[in-house]
Amino acid sequence: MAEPQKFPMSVKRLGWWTWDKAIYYFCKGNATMAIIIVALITIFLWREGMDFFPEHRRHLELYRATGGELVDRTLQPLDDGQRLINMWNTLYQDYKRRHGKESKDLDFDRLHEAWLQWGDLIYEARLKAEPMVQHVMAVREQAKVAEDRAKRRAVLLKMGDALEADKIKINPVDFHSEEKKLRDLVRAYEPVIEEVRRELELLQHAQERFFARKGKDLDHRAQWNKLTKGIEETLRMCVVWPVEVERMDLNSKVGFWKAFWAFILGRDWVTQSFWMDWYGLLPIFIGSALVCAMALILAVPLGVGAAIYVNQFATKWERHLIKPSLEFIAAIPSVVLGFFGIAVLGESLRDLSQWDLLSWIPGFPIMERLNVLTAGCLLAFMALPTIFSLAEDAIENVPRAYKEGSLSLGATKMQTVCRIILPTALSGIIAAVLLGMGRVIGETMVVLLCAGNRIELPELMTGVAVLTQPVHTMTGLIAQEMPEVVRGSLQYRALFMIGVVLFLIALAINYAAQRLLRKFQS
Amino acid sequence: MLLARILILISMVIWAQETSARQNLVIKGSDTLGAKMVPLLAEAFKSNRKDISFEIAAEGSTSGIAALIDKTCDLAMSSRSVKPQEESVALRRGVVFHEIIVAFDALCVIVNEKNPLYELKLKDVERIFSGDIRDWSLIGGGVGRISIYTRNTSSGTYQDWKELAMRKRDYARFSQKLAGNEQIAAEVANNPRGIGYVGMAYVNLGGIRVMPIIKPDGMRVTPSIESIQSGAWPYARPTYFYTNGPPMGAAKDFIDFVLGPIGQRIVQLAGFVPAIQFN
Repeated sequence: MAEPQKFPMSVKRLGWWTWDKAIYYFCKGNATMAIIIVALITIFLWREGMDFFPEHRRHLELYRATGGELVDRTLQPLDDGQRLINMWNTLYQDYKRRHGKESKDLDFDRLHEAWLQWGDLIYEARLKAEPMVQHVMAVREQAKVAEDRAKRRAVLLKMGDALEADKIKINPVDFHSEEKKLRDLVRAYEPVIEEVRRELELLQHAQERFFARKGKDLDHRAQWNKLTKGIEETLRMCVVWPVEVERMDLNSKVGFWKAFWAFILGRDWVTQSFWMDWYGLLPIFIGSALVCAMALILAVPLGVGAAIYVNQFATKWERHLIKPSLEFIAAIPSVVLGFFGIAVLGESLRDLSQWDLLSWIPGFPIMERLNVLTAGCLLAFMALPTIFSLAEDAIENVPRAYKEGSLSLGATKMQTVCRIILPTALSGIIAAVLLGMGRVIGETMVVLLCAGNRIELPELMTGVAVLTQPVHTMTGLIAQEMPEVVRGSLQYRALFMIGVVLFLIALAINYAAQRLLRKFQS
Repeated sequence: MLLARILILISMVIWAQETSARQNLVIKGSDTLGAKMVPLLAEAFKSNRKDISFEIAAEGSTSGIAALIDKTCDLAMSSRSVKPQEESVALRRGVVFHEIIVAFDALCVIVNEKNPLYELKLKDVERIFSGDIRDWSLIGGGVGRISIYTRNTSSGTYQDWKELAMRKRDYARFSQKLAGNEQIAAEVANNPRGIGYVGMAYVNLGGIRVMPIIKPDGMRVTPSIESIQSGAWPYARPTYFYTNGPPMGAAKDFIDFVLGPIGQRIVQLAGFVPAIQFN
C-alpha cells in the first residue's frame, strides 16, 4: 500500500488571520471600491456642473450690462428682414417652377428685383452698425479683463501675498459712461433703420397691388399669408424699437431661474464667438432624442422579433446560427461602425432615396448624407444584441407550466406565444428595450461621425421627414468641444452640465429598467 | 550564473544608452499643418538625422498651444496666432511663446463641380456662411437650399474664417460642423448644393471646384502663389510654429531645416505658400 500523501494544513494561522478571511475581505473591499468610485464620479460631475448656473447668470448679466442685448435688439429688424427675403424667395422660386415658361410676369420679376435690392440695403445697414458692434466688443473685453484680474488678486490675497496682489492694476469699466456712448451711437443709427423701414413699406404696397391682381393664381396661400404677416410685424418692430431700447435698463439683474431656463430651453448653442456665446440645450437634446427614437424604431422590432423566433419557433440548428451571430454584433467596435456609416451607408441611403419608386416616402430624396437616418440605422445595429439577449432571457424565464397549460387546453402554438408567453415576459422585454435605449443615448463615436453635426432645432413640423435632417447630439457635442475648451471656463462648465443631464437620463432609464425587472422576477 | 547576469546587465546598460541618445521631438497642434505638411517635413528630416524620432499629434491649433503651455510638447503647430488670453495663461506658467512663420496658407471656398456658379462676390461669401442667404437662387445659382460645411470649434481654421471672411459674425445655425479638411472636401464633392472652405492643399479632390472671388473693386482673384504673396487673395493667413522660448536642440535643427531651401520646397509641394522664397 502506498504511503498516503501528506498535505500541509492550508489554514495558516497568524493569530486571527486566515486565508478565508483574506479572500472575503478582498472581495468585499473591491465591491466597496466600486461603489466609492461611482459616488466620486457623481460628486465630481455635480460639483463641476453646478458651478455653471451662477456663472451663466453672470454671463447673461454682462451681456446686458455691456450693451450686447441692446445692440441685438437694434439689429433685430435686419435679422427678421433677412428671414422675410428667404421666405419670399422660396415662394417666388416655387411659383416659377410650377408655372414654367408662361410665368413671364414682368411685375412678379420686378417685385423679386425689389426684394433683392432691399436685401442689399439690409447688408449696407449691417455694415453701418459696425461702430456699435465694435464698441460693445471692446467694453466686454475690458470688463472680462477687469474681472479676471480681480479674481487673480482675490486668490493672491487669500494666499497671503499682499505685495503681488497690489501689483495687479484693475481698470474697472465705467458702465455708466460706456452706456451713454453706446446710446449716442444707437441714436445715430436710427435713420438707417428708418430707411430700411421705408423701403419695406414700398415693397409692402407693391406686393399688395400684385396680390390684388394675381392673388387667385397663387398656391400655398398659408405661406403667402405668413409672409404678409411677417412684413407687418417687421414694419411694426422698425417703429417700436427706439422706444424699447430707450426703456431698456442695462443694469437690471438676471434672475437665477432665467439663467436656468435659458440653458434648458435655449435654442442656440454658439461657442467661441466673437460676439456672444449662447449655451442652450434644446437643439442637441432633441437631436439626441431623435437619433434614439430612430434607433429604437428599428432595433425593437428586429430584436424582440428575433428573440421570440429564436426562443419559440427556431429549430436547434437555426438557434445555433442566429444567436451567436447577433451576439457577435456587440463585439464590433463603434468606431468601425461609424467609419462604415460615413464611407458606405450614408451614400447608399442617399442613392436609394433618389429612386422614383420611393419618392412617396416623406423626406426622400435625401439631401444630406449624414443625418438622423444614417446614425439611427447604425445605432439600431449596435443596440440590437442588447435588446435581443435580454428579451430572449425574459422569454426564456417564463415558467414552462404556462406554456404547457396553454397547449394542453387546446391553444395553438401561435396563440400560446401571443397571448400567454409575451404578456408574461412583457416587463422583461420592456426592461431590455430600456437598457438598449441607455446604450444608444450614451453612444458617442457613431453620432459624432454620422449624424451631421448641425446645431439647430430640427424642423419637427415636417413630420417624419425630420429623420433625414442632420442633427447634433449631446454626446457628440461633448466629444467635439472638450479637446480645446479652457479648463474652468463657462464653456467647460456648460459641457459638464450636459454630462450631468446625460447622467440623469441614464440614471432614470436604469432605475426604470431595474424596477421593471424586479417586478417581473417576483 | 554570475557571469550571465553581469553580461545581461552590461548589455542592458548599452541598450539604454543607445535609446537615450535618440531624441524624441513631440509636435502637437493644427490639423491644417499636421495632416500632410509636417509629416512630410519630418520624413525628409529623419532621412538625414536618424537620431531624432517624431511624435506628431494633429488635434487642432488650440490643443497644440494648450499642450505647449502644459509643457507636454516641444513644438506647437498653429494655423492662427496666439490669443492674448493664452499668452497671459502661459506667462503665469512660465512659458514664453516664440513665434516662427513657416508658411502661408490660403483658405479657398469650394463648391461642387455641378454648381452653375463660377465666381462669388466677397460680400456674398459672408452672406452665405452667416446664413443671410439660404438658397442658391438668391445669388444666381440654381434653385436649392445651401448646405454649409464648416470645421468645428477645436479648429483654428474655424476661427480664422470668421475673421477673414465673415467680419467676425457667427456661422449660420444650419451649418454642419465637420472634423477636418478632407471631410469637408468629401461632403462638398458629394452634395451638389454644398459649399465649404478648405486649405489650399486640399482642393485637388475630384468633384469640387475652387471659387474665384470678386473683390469690391471688381478685381477677380484666384488662389495662387502670386496672389497670396502679393496679398491679393483675401483669405491668406500665415501658419506658425511656436516654441517655449527660442528653439534649442532637436527643435532648433528641425526648424532650421524647415526654413531652409529643402524644407520650403516641401512646404510648396504640400500645397502651401513658402514663407521664404528661395530661387
